Amino acid sequence: MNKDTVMIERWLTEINTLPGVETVFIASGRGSVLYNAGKLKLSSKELEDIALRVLRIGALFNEKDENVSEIELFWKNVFIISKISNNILLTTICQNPKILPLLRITLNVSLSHLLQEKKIIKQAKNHATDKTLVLRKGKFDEDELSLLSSI
Amino acid sequence: MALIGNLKDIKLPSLIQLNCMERNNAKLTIERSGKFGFIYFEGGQVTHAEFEPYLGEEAVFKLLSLPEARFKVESDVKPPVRTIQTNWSNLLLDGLNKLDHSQDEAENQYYRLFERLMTIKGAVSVSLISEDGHLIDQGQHPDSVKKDPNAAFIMLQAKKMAKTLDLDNPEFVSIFSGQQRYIIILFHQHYILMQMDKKVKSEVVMPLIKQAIGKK
Repeated sequence: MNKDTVMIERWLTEINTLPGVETVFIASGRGSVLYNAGKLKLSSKELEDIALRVLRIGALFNEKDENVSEIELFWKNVFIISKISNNILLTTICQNPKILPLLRITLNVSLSHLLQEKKIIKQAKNHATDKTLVLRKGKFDEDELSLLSSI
Repeated sequence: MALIGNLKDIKLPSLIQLNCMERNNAKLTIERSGKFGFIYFEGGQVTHAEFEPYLGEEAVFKLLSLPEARFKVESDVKPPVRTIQTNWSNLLLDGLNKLDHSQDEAENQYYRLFERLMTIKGAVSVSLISEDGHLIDQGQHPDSVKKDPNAAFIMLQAKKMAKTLDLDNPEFVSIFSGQQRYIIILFHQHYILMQMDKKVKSEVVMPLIKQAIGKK
């Protein structure tokens, strides 16, 4: 394992050790999962599905020239907290509402460090794409297509 | 021969008026989603109506509120009983007044909801959006009208994520764009989209929003 990968895993572990964090993953702007860590048993296909849907939400705002930096989904006891910056999506699934403020700070700090890692910069560059592409390419059902046609 | 049609093409007040002015003795059957209603005409008057669980004038009033339903008019059918004594034109006027009033109440219901939501510190605008993405109503501070970022699509993506994670529908979605915070909440079959000041923290406003919309 090279130094870059060690550092990336260190930052993911930093997030993952917060009580209630079930999983954390890094995805590219196209929705490919680059790294993941955590207890939750989700397949890479399931993680990619989550990443892609979060990116689609962000892309709606990009269509209107607004940049989204944070997307959060709340259930009663489950929370998806995502940060987006420089073609990189950092997402966690958490089950502890009490740590959310700390989790957000940790995500911000981790993301800014991750974006300095050469390996991440290279991967983000390789996967660089038009941010709104996720709204035009991929599988959409009838309801999604009908709602997208109103953009 | 029976006259058959749909209330979206011929409105019920027109059907009542026609049968009364023509002094028809007839039975009007109205069917919507398997539920039947009946209005009987005799000697130029409405004499009886049924629309479970309502009878008489109340049944006519309820039938007037149906936006669309299939109907059939059969001639020379006598009512089983007389439950309406009011002149047909007065009956129709009363019914239409009640209908207007209930529509006003529905509009006021949203008005009051928006009013409560807009008192939350940092609220810029509130929109009520249907599941298919149509704007139902909107309340906002002057000069702050912003276009819906497609709240229905956002919630659909959130619901699909819930399916992947084997969860119920999400309670709300919060998006921070640097200029503004957007909060989308499930509200019955619709979505409430709130645009908030960028300084607003979602966990601070969420309990207030839940209280305003009557959610626990």
